[in-house]
Formats: sequence, structure tokens, C-alpha cells
Amino acid sequence: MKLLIVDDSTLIRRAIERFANKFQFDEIRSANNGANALKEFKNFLPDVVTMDITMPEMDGLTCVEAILREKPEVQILVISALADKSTAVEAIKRGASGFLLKPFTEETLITSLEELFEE
Amino acid sequence: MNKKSSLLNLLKPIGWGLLAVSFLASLYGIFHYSNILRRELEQHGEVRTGAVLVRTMDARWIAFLGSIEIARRDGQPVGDILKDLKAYSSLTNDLFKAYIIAAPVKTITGRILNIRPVNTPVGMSVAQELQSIWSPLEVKIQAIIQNGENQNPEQLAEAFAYAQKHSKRVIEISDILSGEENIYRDQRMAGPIILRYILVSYLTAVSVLLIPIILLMGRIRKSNTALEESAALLSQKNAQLAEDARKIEEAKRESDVIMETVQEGLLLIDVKGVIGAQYSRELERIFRMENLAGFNFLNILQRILTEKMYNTTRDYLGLLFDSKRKEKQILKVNPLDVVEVNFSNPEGGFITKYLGFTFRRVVEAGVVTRVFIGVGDITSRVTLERELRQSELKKEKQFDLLLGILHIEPKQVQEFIETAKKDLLEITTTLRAEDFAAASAGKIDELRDRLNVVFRCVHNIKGNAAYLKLVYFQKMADEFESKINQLRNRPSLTGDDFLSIVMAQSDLRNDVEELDEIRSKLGELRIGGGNSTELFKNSDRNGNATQTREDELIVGLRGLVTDIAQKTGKSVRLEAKDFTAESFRSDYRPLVRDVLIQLTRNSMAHSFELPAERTKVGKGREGVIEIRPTKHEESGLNGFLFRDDGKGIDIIKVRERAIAQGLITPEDAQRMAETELAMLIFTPGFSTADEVTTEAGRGMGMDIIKEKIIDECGGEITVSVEPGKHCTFGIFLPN
Repeated sequence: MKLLIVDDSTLIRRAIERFANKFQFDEIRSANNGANALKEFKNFLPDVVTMDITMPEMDGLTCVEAILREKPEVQILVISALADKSTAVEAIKRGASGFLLKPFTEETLITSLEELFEE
Repeated sequence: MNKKSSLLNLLKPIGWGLLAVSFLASLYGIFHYSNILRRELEQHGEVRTGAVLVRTMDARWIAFLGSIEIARRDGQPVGDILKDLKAYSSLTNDLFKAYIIAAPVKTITGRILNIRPVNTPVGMSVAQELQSIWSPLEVKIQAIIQNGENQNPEQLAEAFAYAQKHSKRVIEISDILSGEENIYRDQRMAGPIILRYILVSYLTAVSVLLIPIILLMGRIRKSNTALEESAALLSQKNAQLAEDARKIEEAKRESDVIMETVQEGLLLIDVKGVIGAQYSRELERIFRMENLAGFNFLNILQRILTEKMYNTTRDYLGLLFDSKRKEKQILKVNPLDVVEVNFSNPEGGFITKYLGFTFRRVVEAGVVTRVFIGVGDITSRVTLERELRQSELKKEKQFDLLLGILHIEPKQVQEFIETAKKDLLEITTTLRAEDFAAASAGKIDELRDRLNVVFRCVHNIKGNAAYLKLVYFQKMADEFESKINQLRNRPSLTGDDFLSIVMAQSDLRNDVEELDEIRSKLGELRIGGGNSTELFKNSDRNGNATQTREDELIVGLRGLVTDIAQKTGKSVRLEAKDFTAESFRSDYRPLVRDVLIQLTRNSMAHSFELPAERTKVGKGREGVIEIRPTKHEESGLNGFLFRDDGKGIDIIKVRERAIAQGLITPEDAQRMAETELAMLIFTPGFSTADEVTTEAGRGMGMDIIKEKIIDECGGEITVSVEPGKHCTFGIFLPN
């Protein structure tokens, strides 16, 4: 199983990568904005994507839609610092599978990732 | 009797008998099937009702504990509430028993509930979890019941906090229990169990009824009797069917009772958002509307939510009905878990409330057909939380104030409070409402004058606060000044524009009151501390200040100089060897202090150059402020000279500004001596500073000095300037 981390903050990308190690992904890659994420996605074709909402180049919500057009069965976990609930609803509406509020901990991230695969 | 006819006679009743038997058998089979179905549905209903009881459990605990606390505070007896609480506690225990060993539960309405024990792993684990949440609470509640009329607020608060803490989980458990039940029912209904039941019951019925046929074969003569018996049986069964119908009807009535009394708004909506026929009475109270069945839930929300929130909610319901989406993920982003709603008030205006919504899907054959919604009015909870936050903020502020005054002598704090109160009083008088009504229309100059008075007062408070390093007040006064400046820059002014000023004034007043309160508490603390002599030596109540007190004024000024020097990158030293405020009348001493603060701030902001600049023009790197006692040459008034060796007053700039502001004409300017021009800085509203900084330069300050020294006390002011080299002010007061 492959994971793509999309976030414009290096710090957060590293944190997610470290936390996600527990999840035993076969391969983890990352991208620092929406446009790069889409490029990376087409080559990498991951099973799971964690997606920041506010990013330069292409915002997370637009990126979610673009990625789903490429591979509809991908699981996208939107991670956002925006406590605004309409953002969360909008993310799910556009096809994200889960929503996680920043700041997150190792535990909340793992739980959210696990829940993506719950039936 | 011939053989043939006797055979025919024999066959005829047999034929009839067989027909009747098979008819009866099918009737019995159908009846049995309906009976099983009814039992299944009834029990399903019971388990759901049990889940509803669990769902409202947390709300009830909180409501009970809350009303005990309210009664206790109001001094009302709590006996009745305790009685209800006791009954509810035992109901809760029964409910757990029911979930584990199928014991009957007697509800508050007196009805007996037969709940099937949960037997799925998930169901059993949450039932146990629920019990583990309840057990510690039960202990607390028992103690509260034991306390009777002598309630202990801490115990109540603790139980309340516990109930609140687990509230969310209890609701989740209720959801899980009803979910488990749905799964169980779906399996039962769809699975082969029911079919087997039907088959077995049909076969049993047929075989049981075959016995009369055999008997009929043997004892044909008795066939008529058998038929009659069967008919009797049939009518008996019919009566039983009617009885069953009555029971179902009663069950419905009882569910109506629950819907009437449950403390939460409960409703079901279909995919179009239409509210179902059964909803709880509480819902009408929450939405302030009656007869909600058939209404569209979204239309109701549209009236009470903001547009953005409404759009989000509409999208959210769309997601809930979308069977492809995972319910768990959707429930997590519930936008209405705490939402502000506004109802129009029949008495005018509107009422703001906070509602909490929970959603749950109703799935039939894998498709979301309806959504179950719970609504609660959580206004009191939200307000409570907000009050708590505010009181915490207040505590923080008090801590700031306390830290601020710890390093200052009590007497000085008291002086600060007294002068601040005096200034605030002047602000209030200036802003008095009745004058405004008359003054506001078109009298812009009048309003501007008032604004200037207010500014002067606030500026004075700020100066004193900076002198005492009361950072909080310095910040507040600075924000206040900014508000005044915003108004000053407006082309036109009305009385209404002063509202923000009035608010800021009242905030500042509250802060001063609070400081006063803290000061007096701290005073008690210090006296209580035992070593008060040292601290109070300087604050002799008769005003006979000791030598140390003047030192303090100078020490304070020196601190101010260092502070500003650090912020601005300047380097300045203050010298005041022989100066003592002692030589002034005691009622003038606060004024002397204010004037010295103002002069120091002005010098620091306008006069002193940066060290590099000073070296360039051949001055010492460090600037010097000198305060020296003196007497006025002509009047003999007692006073002091305040000299700084900065660049002094920029006469050229003063001239330009004065002309630009229309204070003098260019012709006047030609005629005026430098000293005369320098005196212009005492004109109200005059400033030469290019930028507004916290330190000085908002065109106020010097005019207060003039007003207080000359107009109020009958003193004198002198100025002597040598541009670029130094500037000396003389301040003189009557003896």
C-alpha cells in the first residue's frame, strides 16, 4: 500500500511520514503543493493521500477532485487547520473519505487512517 | 340403507371436513406467522425504546444534578428531585440488567419493557462499557441522595462534570445499541429463520388438524361436532387477533407517550427532508412551531440559520442520504453539533439560542431511507462555557494587574488610581449624554473640542501608567487614544460617533476599579504579612513624605528614561541632585510629578538625537536631562528648571506647523521672537512630531501642562531654546 503526503509545510510532511510509519506503508512520497501533488499522483498512483487544504498553486479541495478523476477508489484524508465546519463538509462532498483537524497527534492520525478502511 | 348411498353419505362430510380442515390449517399458519412477526416487531420496538432510554440517560443525569444545584443555590428544598433521581437510578440499573439477563424494566410511566438481552460481541461490550460509566456515577448519586437537604456543592459539581464528560459517549453507545438491534432484526427478517418458522408452524397446524380428520374418518357422525368445535376455535382465534391488534395499538400509544415526554427533540426525515408523523413534543418547543409533521426540515433550518450554515447543512444532509458514503466519517464532520440559531422574538428583535444536533442513518436493505435526528437546546451549556472562558480571561487580567503593581509602592498605585479616576470623571462629564443631543447637530467644532479634552485625559492616564510601568493600562490607554484619533480624522462628527469612546471609557473605568480592588486586597495582604513598616514608611497618610519619596519620583523618571531610550536606541542620563518635590505644596506634588513625566517623555521623543547623530554634531554620545530647583526672577515663585541638551524645539518646524494649522499668519511669524514661537507648543492640539508613537507626539501634553500650571494653579512657565543645542523649561508654582 502506498501513501502520498500533500502539505506545503516540510515540518508537517515529516511529522505525517514519521507517524504513518506505524501503518506499514510500502512506500511513502510527498508533495508540497496541489499542482505537484497531481503530477506525483499520476506517476505514483498511491492508495492513500493525506491532503492539506490551504496550499499555494492549487488548493486542497480542487486537488481532491482532480485526484479522484485519476483514480476514483483512492482514499483521501483531508487534514486542515480550518475549524470552519463548512470546509469539512465541503471536503467530504468533493469526495474525500475522511477529515482530520490540525493540530493532530500520532494517535489521531493513525485512527483517521484506520477509519478510512473500515467498512 | 344401501351401500352406495351410504358411501356417498359417508364421503360427503369427509369432503367438507377436509375442506374446512385445510382452510383452518392455512388460517392458523397465517395467524402463527403474523404472531411471530408481531412479536419480532414488538421486541424490536422495545429494544429501540431501551436505546432511546439510554440516549436520554446522560441528559437526565445532567438535568437532575443541574436542578438540584439550582434548587440548592436558591435555597429551595431538593427532596422531590432526589426522589425522582432515586427512581431514575433504579430504572437505570434495571435497564442494564435487561441488556444483560433480559429482566423486565419498569419505565417511569409504569410500563413494563421487555428488552431482549444483547448477545452480539459489540453490543455486549458497549453495554458493559455503559455500566462501567454508570457505576462510579451511581456511587456519587447515592451520596447525593444520602445528603438529603444538606447538599454539598462540590459533590454536585463533581458528579455534574462526570456526567457531562461521558455524555457524548453515552449517546454514541445508544446509537451503537440501536445499530446492533437493526442488524439483528435485519438478519432475523431476511434470514431463513422466519421462513423455517412459517414452514414449521404450517406443518404443525396441518398435522395437528389432521388428527380430527382421522377421528372424522373413524367417527364420521361426530364430524358435525368437530366442525362446530373448529368454528369455535376459529372465532377464538379471531378474538385473539383482535386482541393482538389492540396490543399493537397500545404499544403505539405508549411510544407516543415517550415522544410526548422525552426531553430531547427527536424526529425522522425522509430523503426530501420531510419530517415524519412521529416526533417528540420537545421538538415543537425547540423550533417554536407546532404541527411539524409533513414540514420540510430544511425550510425550518433556513429560517433560523445563517445562509452559509444553511448551505453547509443542506450539503451535509445530502451526504447523510448518500448510501455510498461511510456514516462514521460523515458523523464526524457534523456541522450542527453546536450551532447558533436566531428566532424572531414576538416582542420585537430576536432571540439567540444554541442547539446541538445529532444525526443517525436509518438503513433499509442497504439504502438510507430516513435520517434520525436528535436536537437539544444547549444554550445554557454554551453560555456556561462562555462565562467560564470569560472568567478565566478576567483572572488572567487580574494576574497581569497584580504583577504590574507588585513592584510599585502602594502609595504610588493609590495616586495613580486617584488621578486616573479624576481624569475618567472629566471624560464622563465631557461626554454627558444630554449635552450631546443639543451639541451634536452641526456643531463640529464643539464636538472636536470635547474630543480633545477626552484625549488629554487619556493621554495623562497613559503617561502615568508608563511612569509606573503599568503595562496593561499603558496598552489600554493607547488603544483608547487610537480610537479618538480615528474620530479626529473624520471629516464630520455626530453624537453617535462617540459611542466607541463611551465604551472605551467605561472599560477603562472598570479596569481602574479592578486595580483599586486588587490594591486594597494587596494592602491587606501586606499588612497581614507583618513587615509592613518598611513598606508603609513612605506612604504616611498625612502627606508628610519622607526623603525617600522624592528619590522615588526621580528613580521613576530615570526608569522611564531608560525604558524609552532602550526602545528608541537613544542614550540619555537624568541628573537631579538638589531637586525635591518637598519644596512644593503637598497638593501640587502630583501635578509636579505629571509635568515632569510629560516633559521627560517629550524630550525623549522629540529632542534627543541618536548617539551617532550627537557625535556628528560634536555633542557627547549620551544626552543629559537636568532638573534643578529655582525661583522665578520676577514673581519669586518656587519652581524648577527642566533642561535637555538635545536638539531642542525645532523652531522652523513649529513655525511651519503653526502657519499650516492657522494658528498664526506668515506675517506674524516674521515678527515673532524664537521664545514666542516656542511658546506655541503649548497651544491645544499642536504637535511637531511627524509620526504618532506610543512615547509622545499626539499633539497633546504641553497644552495640559499650560492649562494646569497657569490656568488652574496660577503658576508660570518659561521656555528658553537654543536650537540644536538645548531646551529649558521653567515651571513655577505658588507657595
